[in-house]
Amino acid sequence: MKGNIIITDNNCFVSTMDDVINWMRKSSIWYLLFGTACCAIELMQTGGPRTDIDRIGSVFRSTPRQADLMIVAGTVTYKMAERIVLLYHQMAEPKYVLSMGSCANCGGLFQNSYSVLKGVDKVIPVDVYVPGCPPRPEALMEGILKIQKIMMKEKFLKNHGERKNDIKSLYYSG
Amino acid sequence: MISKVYTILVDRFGEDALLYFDDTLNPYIQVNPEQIQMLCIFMRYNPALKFSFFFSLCGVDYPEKNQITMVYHLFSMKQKKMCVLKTSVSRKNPELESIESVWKAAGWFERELYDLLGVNFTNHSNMKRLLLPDDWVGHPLRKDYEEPSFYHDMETSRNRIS
Ligand code: SF4
Repeated sequence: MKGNIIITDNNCFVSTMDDVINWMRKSSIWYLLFGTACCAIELMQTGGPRTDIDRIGSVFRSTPRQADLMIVAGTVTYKMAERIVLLYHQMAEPKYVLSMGSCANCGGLFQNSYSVLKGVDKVIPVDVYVPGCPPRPEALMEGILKIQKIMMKEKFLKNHGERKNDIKSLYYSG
Repeated sequence: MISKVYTILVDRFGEDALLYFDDTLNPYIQVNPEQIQMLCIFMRYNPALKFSFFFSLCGVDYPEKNQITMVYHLFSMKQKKMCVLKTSVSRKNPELESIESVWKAAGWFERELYDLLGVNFTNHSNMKRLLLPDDWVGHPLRKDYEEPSFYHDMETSRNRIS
């Protein structure tokens, strides 16, 4: 754990509340299981023994109400995009979005298709983009570590549970 | 092979309704669009033919000929033979008899064709879009389909910077 921390004897440490909350949050990123296409196979592989995603406390949830992170893994069609927005709004604040693979980033391979949304950032704000078709499990892991870094910078107590570095606020303020 | 099937069909439906082509990889039989349902019933239940398995139904758009061609792939478990039927309808107002009553599996193929090419199948039990949302405008696999720039307030291209 980085940040303000003083380790005293007697097995205890002193730190700021924010740091402790952030540390707890980042060590239990529960993500919404959201595989929309072939990238989901690689997402499952990330849960496998080699790049064990569970070891950083990330486990999948099948309901948005228990999830902190939405991993959009795969092609997003217009029909699906409406459901994604719905699920995104059902997630509790503070929430994060990771877009995995070229399809979710920009439409990728289906750039000229009539039914595919050209990037999930057209409908929801995205924190981290992981490129690749599909990204290797290591890349997705890197993405989640990036999310952890973003999480460590939050000041939840000061902002009353709101995200300070929320991309949404950047979108709508100017 | 298929020429034998063709002779049986000609015996029943006459020479002028059917044309046989074997210059392609899979020989095919060109059929009159009005007769497609009768022909399918005959091919399925005739003891010498017994085309009991419906492989696929797909459509091809030919804007220069102003027609849409339907391609039926049938398979006979009895003869271990595949047969390809083709039939063409006009592009303006494509309408064809449904063969859902002959092979139940054809129902979804026909819905897909309606969805993507806009072919209307009469006497179909549930003629609505299969893959695309119900409020979609147009039939995207037509060659002259133009994509609108917005669908439900979502931009459909990445070129524009808002
Ligand atoms: S980016 Fe590649 S692997 Fe991922 S969903 Fe798209 S096509 Fe499949």
